[in-house]
Amino acid sequence: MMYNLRQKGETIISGFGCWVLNFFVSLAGLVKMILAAFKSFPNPLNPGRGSIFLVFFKQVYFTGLESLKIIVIISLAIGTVLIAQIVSLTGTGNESLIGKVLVWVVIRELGPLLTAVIVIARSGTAIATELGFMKINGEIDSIESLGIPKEQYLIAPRIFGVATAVIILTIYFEIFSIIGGFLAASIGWHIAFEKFFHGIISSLTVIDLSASIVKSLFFGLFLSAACCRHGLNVGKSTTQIPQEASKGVMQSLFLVFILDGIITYASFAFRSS
Amino acid sequence: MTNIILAENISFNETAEATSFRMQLGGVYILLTSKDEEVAALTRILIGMDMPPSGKIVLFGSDTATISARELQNTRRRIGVAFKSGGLVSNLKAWENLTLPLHYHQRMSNNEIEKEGIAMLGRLGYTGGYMDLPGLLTISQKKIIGIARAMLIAPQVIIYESPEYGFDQEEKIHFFKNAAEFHREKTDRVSIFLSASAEVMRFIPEAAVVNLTKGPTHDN
Repeated sequence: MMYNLRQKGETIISGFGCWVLNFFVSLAGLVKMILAAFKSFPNPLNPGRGSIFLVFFKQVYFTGLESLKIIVIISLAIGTVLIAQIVSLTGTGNESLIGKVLVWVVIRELGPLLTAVIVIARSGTAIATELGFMKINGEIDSIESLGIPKEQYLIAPRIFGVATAVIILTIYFEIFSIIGGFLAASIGWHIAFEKFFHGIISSLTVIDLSASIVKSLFFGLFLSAACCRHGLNVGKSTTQIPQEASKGVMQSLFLVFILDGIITYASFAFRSS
Repeated sequence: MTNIILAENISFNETAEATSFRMQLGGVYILLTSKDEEVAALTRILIGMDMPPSGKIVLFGSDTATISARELQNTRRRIGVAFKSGGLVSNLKAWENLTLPLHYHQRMSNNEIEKEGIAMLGRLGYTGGYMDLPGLLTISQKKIIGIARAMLIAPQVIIYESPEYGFDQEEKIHFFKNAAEFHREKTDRVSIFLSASAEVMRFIPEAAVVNLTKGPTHDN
């Protein structure tokens, strides 16, 4: 009995150890992939830059522009809900606190985080699936047979395209959350625009804005790299495509939450130094 | 004569017997295999995408097992591959597929690319839409785009994978006539036809045949 428990305990510990090790190996692979993407970013004198930028702009269009409608609706709703909660907690006449909470919650946390989650759900799965299909159909081999490296033509523009789109969408998310919040405050509790706006501006710092941009940049880089990596992991069977796509999504979500914690901690450390 | 491709004791799968052959400047070759899968495996080996289970491939004087990734990419720019089913990228339109290597590697204006692309498609008798995605094209149309793409880069070596596949009799005659003309345009060009069908020999009687169906070593 005791032996069995001990054995089970050891299995759990070694299983957890394996998982941690695999996580770090996988993370190192993603960092390597992102660095390779930076390295293979096309030289302005390279004649192939036009084709690469075309893939980049398509990715920005697909991830950024086509998600904008969803982002706008969700951010307006989040802003409205947040204001309703804050006002019900603090009551009216406390506009500076309303602004402060909105900055803390939306700009520091929810903006980059929810944008990344929406992008993972929409574009992350699409990237992993598309690359998986390309791999199975031999399209990646066909591209490489033309002397075009997949890192430069397929991976780098997707990574940078998604990162750019996540930064832009985060900015939109934050602006529309504040607009939604103002509309709710104005219609529901007759809070004047000047007071509302002053409350936000007085609470907003450069560090808040920078942390938000840095978060969205890292989220974009890592989530796209994770989805690209899982898409390229597909072997010869089509059943591997949904498996790898869901693994890509799960890894991206996990990384986004871990990175969020790290960057938030770093920004607080920087603020208090 | 200079060897462009030298295969020494290679086997392209675990069960096949080792074989050796060499391909020289200006030559036309047919590599005849017993199965279609072997054609695909041999194509990948010849362009350095896979290593043969045994033996070695020397491509333009460099062993594909020891050459760096960058050198291999540069070497591949001298080789045009017309894949069995075209090898088109599914999210690019027919025209984008055709002009991808020109846009990527050459310093040509859009007008020059357009002129050359249209001329090549006309020469090969392409009948599909230029702005159609590959999913909307027939096998023969996909194949023609793939062949045109390989020819457009004016390669020193051109590899046709299962060239007879997907074409009707009339299209086959037209294709092999064009392939022969294309070969003659450059005196040092090497044309390689990889196929599992002996029918190919009938269309290119001047080609040296490397018969890989029998197993023992053949040295041309």
